[in-house]
Amino acid sequence: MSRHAMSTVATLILITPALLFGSLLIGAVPVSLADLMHALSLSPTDSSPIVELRLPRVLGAFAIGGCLALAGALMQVLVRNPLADPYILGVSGGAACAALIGLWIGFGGLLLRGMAFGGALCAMLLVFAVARGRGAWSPVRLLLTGVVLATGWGALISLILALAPDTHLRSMLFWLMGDFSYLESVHVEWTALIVGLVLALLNARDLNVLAHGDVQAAALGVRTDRLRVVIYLLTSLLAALAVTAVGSVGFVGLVAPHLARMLTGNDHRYLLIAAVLLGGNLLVVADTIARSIVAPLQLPVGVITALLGIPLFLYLLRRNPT
Amino acid sequence: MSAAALLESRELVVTIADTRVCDALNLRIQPGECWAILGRNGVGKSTLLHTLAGLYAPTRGTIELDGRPLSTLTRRAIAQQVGVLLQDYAGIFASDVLSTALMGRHPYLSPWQWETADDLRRARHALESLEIAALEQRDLNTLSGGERRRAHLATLLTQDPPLYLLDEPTNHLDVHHQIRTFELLRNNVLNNGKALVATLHDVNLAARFCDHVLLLFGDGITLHGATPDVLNEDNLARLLLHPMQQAVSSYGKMFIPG
Repeated sequence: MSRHAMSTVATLILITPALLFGSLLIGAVPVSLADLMHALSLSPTDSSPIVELRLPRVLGAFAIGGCLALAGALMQVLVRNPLADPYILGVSGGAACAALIGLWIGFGGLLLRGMAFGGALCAMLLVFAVARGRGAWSPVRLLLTGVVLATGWGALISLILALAPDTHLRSMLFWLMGDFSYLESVHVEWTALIVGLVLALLNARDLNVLAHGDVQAAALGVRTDRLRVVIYLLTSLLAALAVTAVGSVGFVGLVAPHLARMLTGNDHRYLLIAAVLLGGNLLVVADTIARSIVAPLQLPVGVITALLGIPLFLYLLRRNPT
Repeated sequence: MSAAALLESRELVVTIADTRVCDALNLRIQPGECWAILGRNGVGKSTLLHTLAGLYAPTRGTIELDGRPLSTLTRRAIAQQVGVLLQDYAGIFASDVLSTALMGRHPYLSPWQWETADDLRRARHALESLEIAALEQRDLNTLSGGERRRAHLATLLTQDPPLYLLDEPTNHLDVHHQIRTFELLRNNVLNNGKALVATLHDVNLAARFCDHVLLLFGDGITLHGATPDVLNEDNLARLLLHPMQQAVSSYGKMFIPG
């Protein structure tokens, strides 16, 4: 099993640069490989549009896809539910509410991202405070609290959309479906992805044991309470960051971890790396389609991930009845 | 003066919901001993076992592992001393038999360490001794109840702690594997100076394999001691609220429900 998982991860690592390069070549303005190599070799001072516009978008899509996939894989263990995704506890709902209010006021750029991140943090702390209560932090309680609060955020979003002036509606809807046009600098996303992955991998064997049940994990020496808090914070921050950068891009956080489980099995030391690579690549492909298929128009990337993700996921469900 | 007991409880009071499991229980479990905990459904056998493993907080009293208070030890330190076989397992994702057994090494590995060849050897040895080596690549969900039970026992044998706490270890096992498993565990206890505490419903397994018995009558009333002193018709009838008749076989005393 571990041999197979290792070769899967190696294959994914090899595919990734090819996909990233391919994605840089495709777009509203097709670029030849020679032009691309030339553009990438230029010094930062006289860079080309490819490096200025397309490169951060491709790299950003990968980092965000990776963050969402990692958050999804962790969330599935945290709430003990294989159908969980990074948004299930309402982090994206909180971010969306704050972002929509920001768009209404007329915020953009960093201010809008700040609003969204603040909203995500609020949602995260709210679930944390309510679900924890006085007693133990049971997965069911966490899941129920999160899902109920997420529904509440959904209602608030509908309310904002109903009241907002028509002139703002288009940008609001785009934000909700995932909009990559704000991506400029991707340092934060890549730092989060790398730090998050390292942290998660340090807890990977603990997660393997936790998947066998809380009591079993505790009996094998895992401090389950602390582990749960660490995973919760990590998952929420990754999701908050992703939502803040590009809005709520759906399905990557659900489909990528499941694809990874099918390919590598459930040892989190392989699974988490595979999920990050799959999630990153999936979002790069989806964004490439979104910005090139009806160029110069851009489709919201969330629509593409859903259109790719739904049939894929249904196929997986049919193949694995358990 | 005798050496420190593997596990010692002092004035232990355990309660769960409205049930008083034990009242001022003083247990002393020494190396080489096999203990059975007997009692009706719902008297708190599992709760007591979890308390001894530090997985459930007692109402009062102290528990010491090898002379050190349980409450001062980390989960990891406890897991190196005490292995627990749970009654139920709630895995959410598929896991193969070998990985499940290998999990027993978790308490000994630091976060960045991988299982070594020696760990793998221990896991494979455990699978062989439980007669499930051929199933090592199979997913737990595809196994029969008894095979799955033995896979979880393999985790425990791979963990190889000085003290085994087993919650109904023979659940789902056929007769051959009930006897085989108990022989295996008892030999391990006797040859390696370990100890074992098992909750059981089968009085005859207790009579045959355990040298000490703890009876939980409910309402906090308990009785414990050497098996021949404690296991008799009167005590068992009072314990199980059912008449039990003693018989003698070539394996020793047996009890038949009336």
